[in-house]
Amino acid sequence: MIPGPTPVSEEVLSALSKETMAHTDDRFASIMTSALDKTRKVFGAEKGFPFIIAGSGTLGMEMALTNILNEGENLLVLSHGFFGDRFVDIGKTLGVNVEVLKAPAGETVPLTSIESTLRKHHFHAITITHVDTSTGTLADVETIANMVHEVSPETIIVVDGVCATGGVEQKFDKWGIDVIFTGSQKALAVPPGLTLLAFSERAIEKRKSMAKVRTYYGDILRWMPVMEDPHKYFATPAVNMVYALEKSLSIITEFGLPAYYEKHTRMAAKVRAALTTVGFELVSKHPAPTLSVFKYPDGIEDAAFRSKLAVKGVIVASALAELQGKAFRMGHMGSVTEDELLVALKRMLEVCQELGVKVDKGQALNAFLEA
Amino acid sequence: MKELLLIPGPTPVSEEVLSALSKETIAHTDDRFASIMTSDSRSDSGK
Repeated sequence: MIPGPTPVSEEVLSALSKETMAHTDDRFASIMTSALDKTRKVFGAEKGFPFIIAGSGTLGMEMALTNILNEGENLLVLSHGFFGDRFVDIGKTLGVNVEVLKAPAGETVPLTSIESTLRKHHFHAITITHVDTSTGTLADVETIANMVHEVSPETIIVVDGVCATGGVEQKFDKWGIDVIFTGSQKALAVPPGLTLLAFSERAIEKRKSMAKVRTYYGDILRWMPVMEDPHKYFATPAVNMVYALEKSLSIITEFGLPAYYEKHTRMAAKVRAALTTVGFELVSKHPAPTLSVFKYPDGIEDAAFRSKLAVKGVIVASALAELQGKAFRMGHMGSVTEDELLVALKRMLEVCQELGVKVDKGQALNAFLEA
Repeated sequence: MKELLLIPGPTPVSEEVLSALSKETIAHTDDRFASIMTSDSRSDSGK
């Protein structure tokens, strides 16, 4: 129940343990091509150029910046938490001038301050973290992107989809996004190990215009021929991870993306309806459907809560940065089911009781079932 | 017959290793994962 890695189904685990084949094998090439086609679908990026590369979501973040920003160019970071801040670190490491607009935990950066910042200076790129996993905050990517197109049309728009893609609708083409990426271990319900990206024509042109690129493995120009024809070689792909990704994306697209989004929205509503009856409070004013970051009610100590819950087989994550010790993070995305969440809720209620907090179990369970 | 992958990598993967690959994913900060990451001679890979 942590916000990633999320549970992996038997079907996907069994795809993972299929025999490894040559990365240039026709059969593997067709699995890779199918995974790339479906990657386009989850991003809403029929026009985008897709990539699947071995590495964590952080590789996706780094590739998103190294391929579109020269040293000394200007980047505007919208930060809704720890993962927004990570773009600041990456930008500085790459010698990029970074300005950050940071919202207090659980809040979002006001559209007006983004607009006035864009009017004051020219920014070559802007980053938006669709869901910041540290605060559970959902950014309104569509509205921000529309404003950027109007106020600063040359600014390249980068979207971090790590805790969003699959669980929240993304319309790369329609919203005019230039770079989007995600990780395999969140709503896509695959073990950690792959980053998926899409680049717009404009972002690819920007990379082509760069005289110097500060990455070798992460250079999209080296990967593009392989993604167009997976028989080609640049660096060895994570063959078994691609089997698992293709399987999971097939399951998700057969289930239907709208139904999959709806499932996430419903699971979030149920968990929240139930836990608020006990006094847990959402940190975010704009909560994402993929995870919840809950502040503890009085009387519940973080380490005791999480360790007692772990003994009962339910693993939740600690909060990060200034929220550490005051809140916990619970993922409800990917292959997890309502039945599993109901069991997790029951265990949480038991732990609350063990810690001396009065709990009306019937009320909490009814809230879950009726939401 | 099982295919024999004799390219210079990827090389054939044993049943034991494939089965370790398909074990349930656990949290990256879990004690059990930390000890697998640290260990050089873990014997329960088939679990």
